[in-house]
This record gives sequence, C-alpha cells and structure tokens, in this order.
Amino acid sequence: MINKVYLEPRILKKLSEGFGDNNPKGVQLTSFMDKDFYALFLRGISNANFIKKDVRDMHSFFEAKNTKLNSFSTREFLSFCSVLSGKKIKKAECSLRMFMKGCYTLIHEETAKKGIEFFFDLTPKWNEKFGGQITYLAYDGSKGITPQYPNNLILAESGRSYVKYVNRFAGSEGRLIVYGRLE
Amino acid sequence: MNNAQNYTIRARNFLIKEARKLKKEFINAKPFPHIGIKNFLKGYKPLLAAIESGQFYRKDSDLFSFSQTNNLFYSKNLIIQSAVKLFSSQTFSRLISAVSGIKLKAGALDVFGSLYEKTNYLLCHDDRVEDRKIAFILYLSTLSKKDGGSLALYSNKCCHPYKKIISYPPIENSLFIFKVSKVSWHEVEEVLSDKKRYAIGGWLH
Repeated sequence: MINKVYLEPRILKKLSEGFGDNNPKGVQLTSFMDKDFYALFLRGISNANFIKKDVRDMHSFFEAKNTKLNSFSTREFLSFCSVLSGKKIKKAECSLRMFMKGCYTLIHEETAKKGIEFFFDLTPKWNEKFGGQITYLAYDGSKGITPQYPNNLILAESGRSYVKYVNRFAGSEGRLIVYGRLE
Repeated sequence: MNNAQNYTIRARNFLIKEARKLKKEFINAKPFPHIGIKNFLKGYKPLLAAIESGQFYRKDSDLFSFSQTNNLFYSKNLIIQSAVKLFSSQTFSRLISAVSGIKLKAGALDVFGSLYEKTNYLLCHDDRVEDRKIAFILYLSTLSKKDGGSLALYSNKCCHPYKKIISYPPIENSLFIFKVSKVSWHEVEEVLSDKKRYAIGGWLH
C-alpha cells in the first residue's frame, strides 16, 4: 500500500523528526500510496453513495455510506502512523467525504478529541479559488494551508484543522477526501 | 469647510405607536426574536461614502471570509464618529430596549464596518460572546436574493442549528436587530455577484 520510499528507515526517521518539529505537529506525504495500489483504491470507492452530513455550527459535507476503507485499518498503515507520530495507534475511524459548494468544517476546540488525524486527498483536479483548502491553525494563531495533490496524506495532531468553505466558483466540482481519526 | 453640524447622523423619529408595533413583531418573530426597521437614518448616503472610503482589513478563518474596519469608536472620520455617537446614545438604546423589551446599557457597544464581496460569507453561529444582548446591523447596500449576502436565520434542535427558516437580503438604510441567545443561529450567505455589501454592525450589552 505505502509508497516504498516512505518505508526506508532513513526517510522514516526524518519524517518522524519532522512531525514533531511542525506547529501543529504533522507531516504531509505526496504520492503516499504505491501507484498501482492507488489506482485500485480509487476503483474500490468509485461507486460510493453519499449522504449529506449537516450540523451547521460544526460541519456540512457529504459522507459515503457503506464504503470500506480497510486500507487505513491495516497493520502496515497503523504502524507507519505510530512511528511517524510517536504515539501508539491501534485503530482508525475513517470516512470518505465529498466537499461540494457550500461545504466546510469548523474547528471546535471544546469538542475536538486530542489525538492524531489524517486527511488522504483523492481530488484529481482542484482550483484554489474554489476554497476547500485543508487548513491548519498553529498555536501562535497563524494558518498553514496544505497544498492540494491527489494521493497526498496529511498526518497531524487533531483539533487544529478545518476544510475551508467551498464557494460557488467550484460549480459542480467536488473535493474528495478520506478523513480519519487514529487512536 | 463644512460645519460639524453637517456631519450629524440621526435616526428618524419613531412614534410610541410604531415602537409598540415593532415590539410585537420582534417578540413574535421566528425562529428567534428579530426585526428589520426600514429607513432607519435620516439620510444615510454620507455614512455609506465615509465607510466606503475607510480602511478594511481581511478577516479569514474557518467561520468567515470578509473584510472589516477597526472598531469605529476610534475612527477619526466625523461622519463615522457621528454614527457611533448615535449608536452609543441613550436615544438608540432606549429605542432598542422599547422594541426588544430587553434592558440595555447606553454606550456599552462594539461597532465595526463590514464589507462582503464575491465569495465572502459568515457561517452559522449564535453570536454569544460575553454579555451581548442585542446584535444590530445597519445595512448600507442593497442586494437582491440572487446576489447572495442575505442574513439567514435557523431554528434550533438539540443545541445546534437545524433548518433555515427565513433569509433577508440586505436593504440599504435598514436596521436589523436580533436577540442574542443560545438559539440565535444565523449566517451571512455567500455573496454571489460583484455587488459590495457594506454594513455597520455591533452588539449592545
């Protein structure tokens, strides 16, 4: 599943150090999945059916129902995230989310569980002017907008991220992301 | 040079009968107490010009994307000072108290100018911060429904916003007020056109 480059001990060590040095703690890994595995993964979710999840003071997006995201519960993935984050991770709770125009998530510090989260980006083509950027709020109040690439994994401490409101420029385009919480 | 008297911003006269009618509308409004009062100022164009020429700063977070002035209390513009004086006056707080039935302190308010341009928005929230009792917005621009920028009000279910009940496109020189509470869920819908949505807003405590 994971691109072999990221499994080299030297790289893994560097990434793990980078995770702790960032504010908030986290890393971004482009071309995260092995190319062939990524193609298979995309095929596996191609028939997903989405339902609206709308709690307007927290989030508004579409979530796939009954989509199996087993790849993110494998020992390989959980061990990899444990090494990177330095936390013992035993399980993942994930959902496949589609952000169409009008969709967003908000930071809710009072309800956000402390832990590790990830975003796995599946959007092939996206224009920044559509909004929808995965944004991280640093502890000094500054914001970091993560660049958008398909097959991109962001692994970070939870409770500091939001998906910016998708505006009308997006038209009928949607941003497809796997979001997961790791425990 | 203009006489300082020319800069005076005044609310139009309100008869007791009208205030009573407004109070009834305010209290009975759904999903929570609110009202829009049209033609609020006696001439608002100088105030619009003063706000338009002022300095706006981008405000961008998970919840909003728009531009805002600094607190207008510190404005050096005489027209804006006059408007702030009106919003801080006993006349204003008494009028809003009469309409809302809520006891308010004169002069105890924060007031800012706001500018929403294409794709700007303010997502759903309840405005509860410290001891805000009434939120007010004086619109200085008119936008139609298709322009976006409407103020949408939501019902409450299990301490979260539930359904959009009504939305009000901004009408220039109208004052919109609502009671701040744990159910005052509202949002400014995304501006869809090139029209600029100017307003002055704040809270009474």
